[in-house]
Amino acid sequence: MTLLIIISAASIGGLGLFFGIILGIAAKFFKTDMDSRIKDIEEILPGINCGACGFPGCSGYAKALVKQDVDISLCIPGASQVQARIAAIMGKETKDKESLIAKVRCVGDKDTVARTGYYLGVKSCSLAQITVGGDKACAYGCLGYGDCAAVCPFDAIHMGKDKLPHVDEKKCTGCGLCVKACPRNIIEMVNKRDYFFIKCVSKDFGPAVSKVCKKGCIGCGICARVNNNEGIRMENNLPVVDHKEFKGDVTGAQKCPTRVIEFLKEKWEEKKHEKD
Amino acid sequence: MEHYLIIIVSAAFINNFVLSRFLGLCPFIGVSKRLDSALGMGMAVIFVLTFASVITYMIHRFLLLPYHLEFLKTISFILVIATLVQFVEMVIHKTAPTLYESLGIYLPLITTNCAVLGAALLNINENYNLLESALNGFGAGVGFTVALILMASIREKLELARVPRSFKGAPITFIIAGILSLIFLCFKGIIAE
Repeated sequence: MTLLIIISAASIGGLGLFFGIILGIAAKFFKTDMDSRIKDIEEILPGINCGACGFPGCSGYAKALVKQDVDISLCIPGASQVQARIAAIMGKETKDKESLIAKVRCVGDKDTVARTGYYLGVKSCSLAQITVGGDKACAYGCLGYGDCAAVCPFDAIHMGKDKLPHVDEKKCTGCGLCVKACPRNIIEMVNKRDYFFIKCVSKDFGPAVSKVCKKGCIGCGICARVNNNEGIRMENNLPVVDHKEFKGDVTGAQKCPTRVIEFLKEKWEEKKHEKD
Repeated sequence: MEHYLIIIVSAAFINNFVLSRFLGLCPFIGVSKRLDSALGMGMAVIFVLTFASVITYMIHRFLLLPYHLEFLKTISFILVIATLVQFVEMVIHKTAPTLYESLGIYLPLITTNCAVLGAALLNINENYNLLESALNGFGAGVGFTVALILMASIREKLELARVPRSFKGAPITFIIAGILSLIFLCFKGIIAE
């Protein structure tokens, strides 16, 4: 019996060794010269395979960079540091790219928004959306089951106690995976330096909003009127801020009756300093 | 001579590995989108199957049988197949990089392709000698390639056909695989077994 065990182990081991040697020789013989730049770039890229560049994973982008001469600024999580290092390898110039972060356009926590019932299904936004649409009365707002937080590879979105996602701006790289994950398109990628932000996506008007949500945008348009439509204008009962056109009168935004426009004073002053 | 011809035809058509024995279905569905990559995959499988049959026969005849180690045949055959696939992968990577790209993940998947292991084990079951084993492996490879090419040419046409929306993609592919399999049943009975 022991002999049998020894013989079987020896024969399989011997076979393995023999084949291993053959493969080793073959590997030398059939060696392919891969462009070493592909490997170098692959090491620089973040390696999270988020797909924001439009190629299948980081290695796909690295290959495309070397072989197809694609734009070097496509890696969003890597931002400017990665771009600079790729540029050094490929001998190209870097382009300035505005860095983006994710913002959640909903403030409808459980005290703010009316309920239609109790959703006991699978705790997933996309499933809730295709079945009954969750249990909140607002047809536009956050469902609150955290698909965005689950998909974030950087641990930058967390579901708060209010059952709303909160973005950690320091960790957010702007890859945009959460935007794709949200079935209600609540998350928006915004320029990191923008100072106005509309915290609602409801396209309804007036009472249709205030009946279901205490904090939602009712589409009154006072922000746009005070500013004479310069920089802020109304579209589908929602204000749209054009940060390039904006002249500097922030009173309109501050007159918002539901306080749905977020005004980030620090970023505004930072920008003002630059202009002066 | 006739006997050898029968072995090849039998392995290739009558007992077609994909469509009658239902072995190796993963690449059959996976690599049958384009005709040229189907052809390349077929060639790789023919090569692997033929050589695997020969080497597994020799291992069985000269190593496993004399030392009464028949119970090791599955694991040792897998070892042979894995090595061969690695080898083929290196050769294709060196000689035909575009083919290598288009085969993608399916080339290493020949390793776990049950058609290859199936052919090797069937050779032992049928008590084939060395030449018969090689021919059986070759025939099985040809049968696999034929099935793959048939499927790929149909699927290329299918891209342009008006398929009902709910049948697009995988469902229509499986239905066609079923119909092809039905057609191959017609070969049964050509040779009295």
